[in-house]
Amino acid sequence: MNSLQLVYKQKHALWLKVLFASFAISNQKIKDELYEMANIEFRHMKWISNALKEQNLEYNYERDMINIQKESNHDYFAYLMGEIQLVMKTYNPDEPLFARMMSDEYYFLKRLDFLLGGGNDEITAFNKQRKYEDKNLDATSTDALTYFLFEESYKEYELIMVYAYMQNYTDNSTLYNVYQDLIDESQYHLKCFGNMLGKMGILALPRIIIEEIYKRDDLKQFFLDGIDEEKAAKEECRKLAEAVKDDQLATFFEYINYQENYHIELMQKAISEL
Amino acid sequence: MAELNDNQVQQVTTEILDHMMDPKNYGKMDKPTCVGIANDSKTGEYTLMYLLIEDDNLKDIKFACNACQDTVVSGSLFTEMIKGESMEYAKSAAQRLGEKIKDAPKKQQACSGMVLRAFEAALLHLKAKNNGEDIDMCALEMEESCEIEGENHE
Repeated sequence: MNSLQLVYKQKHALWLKVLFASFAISNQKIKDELYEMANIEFRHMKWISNALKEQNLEYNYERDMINIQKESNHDYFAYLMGEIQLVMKTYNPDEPLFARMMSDEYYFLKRLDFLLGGGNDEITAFNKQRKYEDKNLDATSTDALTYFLFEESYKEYELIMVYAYMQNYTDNSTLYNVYQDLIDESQYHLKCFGNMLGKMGILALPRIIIEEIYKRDDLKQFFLDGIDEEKAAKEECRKLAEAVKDDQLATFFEYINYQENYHIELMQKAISEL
Repeated sequence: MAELNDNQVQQVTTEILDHMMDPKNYGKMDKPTCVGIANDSKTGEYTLMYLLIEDDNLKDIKFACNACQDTVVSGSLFTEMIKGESMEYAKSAAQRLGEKIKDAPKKQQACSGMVLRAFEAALLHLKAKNNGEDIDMCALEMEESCEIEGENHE
């Protein structure tokens, strides 16, 4: 594996570690700060994937085993600092891309170190309680919500990575923008579902994405399948909204359901560009 | 108001939740002895199964899929059950599980069935290789679809 390919693999893992730490931690201010760090790590990933493409080097979404289960905020901050420092060791500081990434991550290290000096909280995102806030969901609704969140958090992660891959390899500006819109939408959905998984005590990393899923030759078929999946997701949201017997949750799932309509429009727009 | 019934949602036991949060043996294998794939052309879902066999023992097993959460859980449970065992045990376990899921709700039958079908395809690949055929993997089409009773699944 080329050194840039290795950096990509490690960046992908680091993005997930920071992102899921933001879902695990309850303190909203810290959660928001970690989420912003994760977004910057995602941008680093995008730049590295572009550099790989320019060097005609392939990359994939394989990753090593990651254990995100920590007991306290401080455990998380220390863990992330260690992980960031490990990735930084792989950079060539003479290259502008790496210099930028190092600058960002020096700042992250300072912030995490500062947070380590502050108050500590227990992490409840892995306690498997399956209780969502103060809701009194019955067992069937809780099971349905559990399945939905696992299905959809994986799906959103998959979509982010698939569209990012396709965006990197398109020369068509309309398609590029469609991919960006779809990535942004899936980032938002993943954030919603990840935070819900954390609140329910069942937060887990999505499974790895096999390359058959993102290395696709038939783009038209890919989008047609995507439209079917969006329709299925809409139906799942609608059914869940009806079944959870809670107005606030039902409203939220209806809101997600209607967002899928626009995704279908975007995919149809993409098909017309092929 | 619609109700989610048992046919649509499998009960999430502690064991199932563990496999959902941390699916076992998920991913690709670099140098497998044989590879099988179960395809559901109706939904576009598929499951890949990789076996590493040494001295008639299943030294390692991995699976990967583009399928629903039930399939992931079934794959995780099944591969954990047979990993490290003799091939004879693995085959009989697959047969027993196949019998057991006949009583399960249709959707679970389809999802667990996809895992067993991928295992069956891997065994076909093994047989083909033992007969001197040079093929990358064997594929089998699903008879039952995960898309049950008009339910449009992931």
